[in-house]
Amino acid sequence: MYSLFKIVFFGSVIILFELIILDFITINNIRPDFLLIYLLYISLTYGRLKGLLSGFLLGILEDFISGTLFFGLSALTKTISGFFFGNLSGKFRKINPIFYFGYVFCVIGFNFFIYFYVSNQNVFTNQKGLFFNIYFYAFFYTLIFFLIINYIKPINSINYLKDR
Amino acid sequence: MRKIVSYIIDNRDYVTFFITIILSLLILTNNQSENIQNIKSKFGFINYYLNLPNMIFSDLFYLKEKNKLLNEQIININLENSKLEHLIVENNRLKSLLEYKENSNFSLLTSKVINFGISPFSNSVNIDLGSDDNIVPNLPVINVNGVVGKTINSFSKTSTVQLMTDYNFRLSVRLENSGTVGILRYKKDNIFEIWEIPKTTDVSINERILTSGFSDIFPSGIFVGKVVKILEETNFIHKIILVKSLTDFSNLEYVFVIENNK
Repeated sequence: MYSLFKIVFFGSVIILFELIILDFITINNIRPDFLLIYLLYISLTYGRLKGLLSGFLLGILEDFISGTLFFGLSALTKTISGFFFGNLSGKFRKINPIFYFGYVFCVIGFNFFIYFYVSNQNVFTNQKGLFFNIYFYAFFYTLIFFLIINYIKPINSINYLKDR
Repeated sequence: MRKIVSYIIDNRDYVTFFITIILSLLILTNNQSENIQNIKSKFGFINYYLNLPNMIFSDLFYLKEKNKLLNEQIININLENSKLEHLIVENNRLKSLLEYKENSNFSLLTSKVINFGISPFSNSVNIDLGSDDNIVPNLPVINVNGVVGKTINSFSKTSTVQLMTDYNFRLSVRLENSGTVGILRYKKDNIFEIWEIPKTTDVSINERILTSGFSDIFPSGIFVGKVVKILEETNFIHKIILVKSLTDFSNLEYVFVIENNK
């Protein structure tokens, strides 16, 4: 319970950081999802259960801050992502690193796909090119930041330290 | 019973996953329900307090720059105003001659944009007016360059404005010269498109696009943008008009909410 409180507290700090910094790094209305990267690290550290619970709580918090038309969408996507990220907890040494990172990329991609599909269904129906343009743009933009953060704090080091 | 409990405990990851997914879907599908709206308004203070440091930060660091920009805007507006004052006098005189009944009465609330949200795709902004200031969803939001969007959520001290650049945003507009009505939607890079314009309609580049008034939200005659391109494909039954908004949606600072749209 205490760790969950700690996770949400640091998540709020990241949201504060995002609120200040995101406007400077927004390109064509697309911004990186730092909360998702944070969720990845949390899920790998604490496992599946806390990962999905953190995803749900941080998602709800994000929905509140964004004031989105689709209240609950971030909670949904981040719960799914937290659960799937958590599957990798403590498994870096047990599985192929290419598969490991491929899985992380797939979950990030899946997270964005659900988000954009639900929030821009009319674009998906009428302008598939535009939809995938926005989707891949947002996906790769977050991926770049993930790779930078991973270079500073590799996700395999987290597994090694907090192996379940 | 014991077996069920032990099964749930053994599979608590999956059970919790299932419960949270159901909960998220329930929230998502009941977005407009009264209960969800009540929860949102009760916890609206979270939005305000998380935005507070950002508001202080932006006030401290950009005050000088903003002041300079606002002064420039005031000079431009004053110049425009002197022209408009003359037109108002003339307009009132002509209206009185025609015994025209005044029926538009806008009440504008000035509001500051506090952030652009944190979702991966920016299509809304949060402003510093909320339900405490009589802000409710579906109020028109404008700035000096025309339509900006509409309110979609209102918390106690803040509200969310859906920008025109959201792909889900639609606006009924009319061409100033011909009066032809169409639906405006966002394309990309501050360019909007209107599809439903008949080929027989005369449209000129730089023609002003205004709100049509065929909407429960937007009153008629509010400036939206200017025509920048006209596309006439032979296989299309309509013209496609590309419109550029003069608003810089990536750099919004102050907006006006039209409170009393009667």
